[in-house]
Amino acid sequence: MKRTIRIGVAILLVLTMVLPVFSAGKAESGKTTIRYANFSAGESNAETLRKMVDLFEAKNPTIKVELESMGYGDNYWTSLITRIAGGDPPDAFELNMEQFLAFTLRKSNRALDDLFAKTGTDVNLFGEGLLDAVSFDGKIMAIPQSFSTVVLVYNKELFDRANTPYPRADWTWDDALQAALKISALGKDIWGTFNPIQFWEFYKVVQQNGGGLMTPDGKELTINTPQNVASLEYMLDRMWKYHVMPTVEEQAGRPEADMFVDGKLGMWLNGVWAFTDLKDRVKFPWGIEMEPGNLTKATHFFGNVGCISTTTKYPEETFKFLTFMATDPDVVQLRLDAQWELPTVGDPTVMQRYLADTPPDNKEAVLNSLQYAVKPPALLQFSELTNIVNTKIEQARDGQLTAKQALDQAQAEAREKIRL
Amino acid sequence: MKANRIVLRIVLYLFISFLALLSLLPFFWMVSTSLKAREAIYAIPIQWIPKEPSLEAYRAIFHLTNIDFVRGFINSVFVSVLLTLLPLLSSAMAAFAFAKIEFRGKRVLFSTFLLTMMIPGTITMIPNFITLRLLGLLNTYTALVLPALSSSMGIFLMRQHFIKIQDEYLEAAIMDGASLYRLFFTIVLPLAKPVLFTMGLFNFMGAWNNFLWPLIILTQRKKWTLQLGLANLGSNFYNYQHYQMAGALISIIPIIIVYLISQRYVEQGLSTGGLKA
Repeated sequence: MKRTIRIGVAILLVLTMVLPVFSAGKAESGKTTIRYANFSAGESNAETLRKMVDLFEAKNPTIKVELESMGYGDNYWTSLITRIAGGDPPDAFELNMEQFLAFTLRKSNRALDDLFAKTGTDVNLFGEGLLDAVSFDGKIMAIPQSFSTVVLVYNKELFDRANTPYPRADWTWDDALQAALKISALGKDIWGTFNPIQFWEFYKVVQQNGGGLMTPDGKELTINTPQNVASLEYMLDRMWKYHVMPTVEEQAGRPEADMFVDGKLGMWLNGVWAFTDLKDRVKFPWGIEMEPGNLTKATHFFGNVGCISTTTKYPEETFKFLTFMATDPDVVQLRLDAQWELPTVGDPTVMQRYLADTPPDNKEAVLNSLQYAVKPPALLQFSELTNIVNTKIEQARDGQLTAKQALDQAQAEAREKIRL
Repeated sequence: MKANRIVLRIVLYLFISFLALLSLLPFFWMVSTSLKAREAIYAIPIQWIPKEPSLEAYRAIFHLTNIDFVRGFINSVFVSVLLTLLPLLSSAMAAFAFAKIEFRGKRVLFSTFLLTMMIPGTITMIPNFITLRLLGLLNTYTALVLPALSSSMGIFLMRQHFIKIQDEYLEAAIMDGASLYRLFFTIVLPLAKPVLFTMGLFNFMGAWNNFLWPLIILTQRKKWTLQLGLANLGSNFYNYQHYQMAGALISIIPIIIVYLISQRYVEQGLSTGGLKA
């Protein structure tokens, strides 16, 4: 009996001794520790990120940055959302542009205008259009950390063979269509252009045509306005009427990138991240230009931004860190060297090396596209809207609905299901 | 008649073998992917057998910048052992009380415990998170172990087993002057070996593959378990599926070892431990 009691007591003792060992260590005295949750570095740029943070800590000896790096994907959002909901948000967290509005609408991140004023940080440090992209209700809600734009990538050889001039920055839909027709005429399975027919493309194209999915005040859905219907018709016509773009069957599961590399696509929209891959694989001369617009230009913009938690105890230190990570010249250089998207600074001189790295030439198009960057519609039920509209657009793409039918149905369904 | 039976047998075996092969397919895919170079992972047509197989991924996972594979492995072993043994002890103790000790409110308490089995884990996640935050236990392994200590499933299964132990055994021991502790440790537990091993195996497998809760609790990379590390290898622009598959294959080894050790008891446990219901 004594033995068993002794065993029991021993187990309890071990438990009480072992468990506290796992508690987190205390912060070093005299130092402020800020926590930065991030995903965009991943494994490929983990070292670059570490170097950037080391630079910051060396220049700011009183601030210690605890990196909470995760991979890209659902894991990151699950962890971040739970921590915000559970009252333990990191001081700073990285969001992509797709998630930025959802977090902002839920008031997870604080406005930064007072911190800009307090620290005397110049808003002109950032590239044109970038702070607008992260503004909400007239307030700056994040520090843009890195960005990529989408541009028109084209096959110079096909343009030459079709005897048609290369795309220019002021091109409109019609210019692009004329060129696409000539290129498509070159042969079977040679296509003038490729523009996906889905929601993300649609909300951008309608803005090129002066439309939008909501009224500017965000109080009314305007999915089926005449100019939106015309926009979708234009997207569909490229496939069905003019036949300058392959249908789903004609594409036969081939990735667009492979079709371009194989010299089968004249024009194609893609992000700047594709350049490295294209440089390796493309054997013919190729170029880039800003995406053609219609009444106005509108381009896709992807970016990662740094937000400051509404509840952080150290807003100033966190602000200092996030601005440093975006604008410090050494950090910017590290980012450029690693080809880890593009830095968000406005100073054109730092971009010289990037611009000089060809092919493609005319890298200025990458930066110029930023002026026309459009944001996805700002609403809480964003993913539901995406689903509703995308389903209808795909039915139109597959010839089951006309453009007008598709958008009328999408408008009716969205009006019923989405609260504004 | 007899020939019919043989034909039936053959068809049945063919069908079962087909199902077995089907369930092995993902495993085969894992092995195949782990031996590929990155370009070959998404190659079309699919390369079931890699054209240029290499063990590079198995080397590379030990030299990652972001994830310390060895450390993750050790963390996983440590956490899994704790999560196997401690809930086993706490469940067995509670189950013993529910099965063999009379006290007031026993039925109500036990029913309440059973009711908690009806609540999905996702619902208690944020409340548990907040509780642990208030206790200052975020980013600790304690936070992983603590919620697992009251496992209603474990208590229920063990109680069903303990109830079947003849009261005469215990009465005889009490006559000889044995205390409750002695009853529990020297009589009840040895008699319950099969169910303990079965539960232990389930605990270990659950702990080893545990993902969501550690993901939320552990934000410091040095405390990450293997599973967190593997899942967080991907990034915006690159895939590391060959690394993930290589790591996942290595991570199966402990499960196999633990299963082999406890196999003999588990078979008994599955048939006598009340699991058949």
